[in-house]
Amino acid sequence: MKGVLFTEFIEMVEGTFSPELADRIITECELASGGAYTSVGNYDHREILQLVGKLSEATGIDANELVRAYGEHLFGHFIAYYPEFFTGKEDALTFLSSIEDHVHSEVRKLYPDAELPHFKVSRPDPDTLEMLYESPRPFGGVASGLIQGCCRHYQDPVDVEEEDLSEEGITRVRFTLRRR
Amino acid sequence: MPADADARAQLLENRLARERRARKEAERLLESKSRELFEANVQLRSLADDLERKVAERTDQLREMRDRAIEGSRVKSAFLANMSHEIRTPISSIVGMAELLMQSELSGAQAEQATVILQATRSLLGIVNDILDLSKLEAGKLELREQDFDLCQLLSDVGRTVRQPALDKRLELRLLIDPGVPRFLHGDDSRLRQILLNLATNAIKFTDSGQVSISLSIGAETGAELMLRGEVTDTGIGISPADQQRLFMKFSQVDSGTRRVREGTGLGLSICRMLSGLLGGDVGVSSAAGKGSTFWFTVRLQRAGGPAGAAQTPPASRLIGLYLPSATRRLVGAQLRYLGIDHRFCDAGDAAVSVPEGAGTDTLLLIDRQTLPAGELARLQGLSREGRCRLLFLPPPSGAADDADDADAPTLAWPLTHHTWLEVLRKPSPSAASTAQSPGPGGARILVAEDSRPLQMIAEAQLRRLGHRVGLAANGQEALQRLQQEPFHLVLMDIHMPELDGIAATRLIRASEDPRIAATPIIALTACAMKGDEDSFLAAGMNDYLVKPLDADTLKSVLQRWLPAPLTSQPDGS
Repeated sequence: MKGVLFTEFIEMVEGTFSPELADRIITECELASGGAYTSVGNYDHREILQLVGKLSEATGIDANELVRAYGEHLFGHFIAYYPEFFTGKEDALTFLSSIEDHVHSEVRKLYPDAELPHFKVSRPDPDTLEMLYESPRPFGGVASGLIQGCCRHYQDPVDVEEEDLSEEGITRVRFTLRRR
Repeated sequence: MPADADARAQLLENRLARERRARKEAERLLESKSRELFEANVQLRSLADDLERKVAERTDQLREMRDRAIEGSRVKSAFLANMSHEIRTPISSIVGMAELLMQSELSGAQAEQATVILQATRSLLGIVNDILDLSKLEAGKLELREQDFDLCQLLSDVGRTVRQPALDKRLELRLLIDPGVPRFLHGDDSRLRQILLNLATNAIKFTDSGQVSISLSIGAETGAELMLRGEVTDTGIGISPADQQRLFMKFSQVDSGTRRVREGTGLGLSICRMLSGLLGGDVGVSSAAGKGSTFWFTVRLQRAGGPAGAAQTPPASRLIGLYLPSATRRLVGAQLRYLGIDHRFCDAGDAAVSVPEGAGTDTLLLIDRQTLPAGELARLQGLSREGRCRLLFLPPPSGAADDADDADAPTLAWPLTHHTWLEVLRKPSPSAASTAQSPGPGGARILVAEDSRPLQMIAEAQLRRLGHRVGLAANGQEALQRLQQEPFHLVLMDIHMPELDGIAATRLIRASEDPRIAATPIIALTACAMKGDEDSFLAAGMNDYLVKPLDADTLKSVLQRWLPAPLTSQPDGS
């Protein structure tokens, strides 16, 4: 998994809770990487699951909630670092439908080895977007947070409905976005 | 140190350690990316090199294939060009024999049959000539032969050559030269003539009524060099824009129902295109279906001084056209204006119709029987008899047969050409205006060296008709023997002959110890009108050449040029 997802997680923990808490969960997790993440590196995705679990333990907040919050935080990072992804995309639904074709293809230029989740999108009507998230890794919650972050960024009044369709070894979540 | 501070220091140390590790990891990644990039670059370069090598290889292969194809095509063309002799010889025999046949006593039906043979064979010869010309052009064997020439003469020749087909269809033929075009030029006149003839013949072929006009003008001029532009305009069936594009392609004929019935190889226009290209110009067409066509071409030529003397200066005569239709006036006026000949036109009711006082036989009255008011003819004939003028009759429109010739007032030959006026004004006596054949100098002894028996017979018959005596030889060796046995004024020498060919025989004659034999004029007889060859004939010591089939007029004029005059003495000089 790309290092940026780890560095952003640590930053979120440091910012939202405290540097001490971040240091503590890193130390307690006894990570193979030692928690020394660089955004351009690649790390085992299970480390983030460990970190989330440890954070949940330490804070008493539900791990799913933490993951969703992380997703929202991550979206803020994208806005700050990759503003070009957003030009010409006037609303949340338009931006989200372009992820697979536009955003992911840009990511692959920088990181040909990046393992990106798949989004199958359909637009049954202008105010509805269906996104089917598919990944061998259980990060449907991150996706959910990213979608929320996106709607917030565009200040788009959108209701998001989630349906977990996961099977053994594959996480699959259908997000149905409806503009109010 | 308070525990809080310790913890703080520990935290910072942990973060520092993590940051350092992260930085090192990032640097390692950067280096490995750089290496990957370098390797990718090397690979790309080798791919590019490989590609370049492959392109070069393929280019070489293609070039080789192209060269082979060109060579193959050249060999074929060369073969065809070499077949020239083989193909033309028998055709020449048929033409000559048919001509002889027609001059003998024939019944009406027989004469008609002989005419068909002659026409069909001439048409066949035309087709063969087209194909051979094209093959020569393609084989790159066609060499230009540049010389000074008279444009009036050339255009008139063209007009006379297409006379019969135009007459057959009752078409009007208009030959025009723009005033700015120099009359004397330098360049390959035979190729210019060929282009004009091709276009004119085509125009006549595709025009059923109306007129065909050939006009020459100047396209561009730089110093002594100029671009001559020729236009052949007809009132024929025209060509649709789609067909125009295919027109100048080899072996293509416009495929519309109307055109398909016309004969031809479809090579004429592509030959024109290649010839004009060879002469530094171009060809093209503008046409509307049903409304006629204008074919144009350009060729690069040089100004020439022209022959010294009177040929350039218009004769000090004056020509008055009486009661002429306006179309005729325009044509005659344009031709006379080009030649700088003093002329004017008078009409019915015009006071100037009367011949000026003091006029003499250098005043020519040009009249048209069709438009002459009743009674005028008698008056004008009276004037002519008084020596106050000479009368000239215009040929009837489209050269229709006219029996009412007048001994005092000859009818001009149709079509009217620039040369018509030069001849009329050059010769003082009225009879000279007619184109009657004079027998020419006869009585020469001429040796014909020719291996084809039919061609021997034809040459013999033609020479006898001109009043000459003829000796025959079947090859160069026999020709040498005959020359040593008896004196001849001139030798007609075939080029391709068994045992000793014409070139070798000529060299031996020229090298003869007997100065009388060595000086004998030798005229090459050739079936292949290839320009390069003619130069080699002359280089071998021949004086001139004739292309088979022998044309009676050309034969006569070549003989006149080379036979010693006067021919009162025997060739042995005694």
